[in-house]
Amino acid sequence: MSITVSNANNNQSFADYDRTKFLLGDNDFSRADYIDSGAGSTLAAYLVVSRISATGKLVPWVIAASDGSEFPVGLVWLGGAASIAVAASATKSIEYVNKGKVNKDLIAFPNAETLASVVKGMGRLDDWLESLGLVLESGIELTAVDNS
Amino acid sequence: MSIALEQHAAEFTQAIIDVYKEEVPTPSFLRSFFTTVSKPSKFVEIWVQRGTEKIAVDVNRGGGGRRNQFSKESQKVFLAPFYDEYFDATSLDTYDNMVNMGAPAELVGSTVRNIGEKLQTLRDKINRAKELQASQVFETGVVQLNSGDNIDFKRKATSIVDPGAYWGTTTTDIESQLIAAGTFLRTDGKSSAKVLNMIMSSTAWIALKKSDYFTKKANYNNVVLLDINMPIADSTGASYHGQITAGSFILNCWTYDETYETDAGVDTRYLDANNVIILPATGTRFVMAHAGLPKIIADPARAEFNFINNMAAEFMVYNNIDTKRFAHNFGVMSAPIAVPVSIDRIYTLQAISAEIEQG
Repeated sequence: MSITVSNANNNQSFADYDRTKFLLGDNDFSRADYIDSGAGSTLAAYLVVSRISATGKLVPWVIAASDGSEFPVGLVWLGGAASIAVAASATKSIEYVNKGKVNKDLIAFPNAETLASVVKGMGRLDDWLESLGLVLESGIELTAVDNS
Repeated sequence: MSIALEQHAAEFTQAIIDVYKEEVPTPSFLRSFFTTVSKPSKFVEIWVQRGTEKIAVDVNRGGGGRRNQFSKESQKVFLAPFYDEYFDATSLDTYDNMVNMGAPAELVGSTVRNIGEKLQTLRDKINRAKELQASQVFETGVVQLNSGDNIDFKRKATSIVDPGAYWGTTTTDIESQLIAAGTFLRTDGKSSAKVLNMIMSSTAWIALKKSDYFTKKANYNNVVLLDINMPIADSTGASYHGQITAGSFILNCWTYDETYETDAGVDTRYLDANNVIILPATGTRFVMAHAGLPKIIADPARAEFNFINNMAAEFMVYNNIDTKRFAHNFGVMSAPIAVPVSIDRIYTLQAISAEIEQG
């Protein structure tokens, strides 16, 4: 869930709530260490991640890599949190979802990639993720927030 | 100043034949669009979930349905402005007489009536402030506060329109302007009402009646001059003139020229004479919310022990003794805020050019 606060002053405050679900059913999870690249980072939920073959560490998907991290393994799951901070070069044990239905509208991408980006030699990312066992769905939103 | 001789002789040389105490009516027309709610809390809030008009799409049998979600909503919290108007009753001679001289019953009654009338006057002041809040909501969506930050309900810019072509010019395509208003209320406000209330100044009404649209299209002869089923009753300040049509919309025409006085005594209109306010006749959600008011609660078992509690009320009348000034104060408190819950069901159209109004 995300909350966006606006128009706050001494007499008013607006908060827009977005309770869009990411996990839509039949999901499986795996756990591995996520490693920061060195400068410290904020790890966003639902980020496309891949693994460095030699270490088994998770990193954000790097489309042009050649150490194994060019192949996505799943989407970061932070238990409902929107993000966590990872200190410089630190590792953090996290879960990632690699099976079942997920809301494709919430997927976060590194380096401005999209579901149409190409996994090296394997075709589009959305096809790749589906081949892992993820079912990418999109909900039809029937509500909206108020003027703000 | 010495006491004048007339103070002694008046009873024998002159007589009061009548007394006129001007009681100024308080308009309630704009407030009548708001539902009154009172809560004991200091803050009031609304929750809004806007809707859509999406339609179902057919799917393959056995292939599963289409997933819908209802995930977005807004919470809006307001600290209502606080009004506290009081007067010092010891300035009334009758009060002195009542307290100090073992007053007769009729004098006590007169004093109580006098205090009651003044409290009603203070209450009227607050009611005018509420009427002004309603007018500001309808004109700009921003309630202007003196001791606090303005409350901006964030009306869409497309709901406050200056078309550039004004009703003072007889050839102005007024019907298109009114259709645009109705279309906004339908598409953005999601209002299904085809009957709209149109509130304007007499200046705008006169201009409308002289326009080609009114004389040639709206057909003055067919204006309904009386409709006993009008939804807005029990309110003062507006005149109902009848209905006109614009496209598929029917507009109830109201004029509203009420004014109030500022502290400096300047007569000021509640609604700008240039603006026309258009609202759906049904289906609006406007709330005049009243936040909690502090009340001194006395413990009858321990007279020295009082405490303050918040109570839900539209007004609270109080009195207290100022032991330093030896004054007996009577006052009225209220914490109202006019909240347009259905924010996009208001349309403001500038119908008269600013130059004409100023002239």
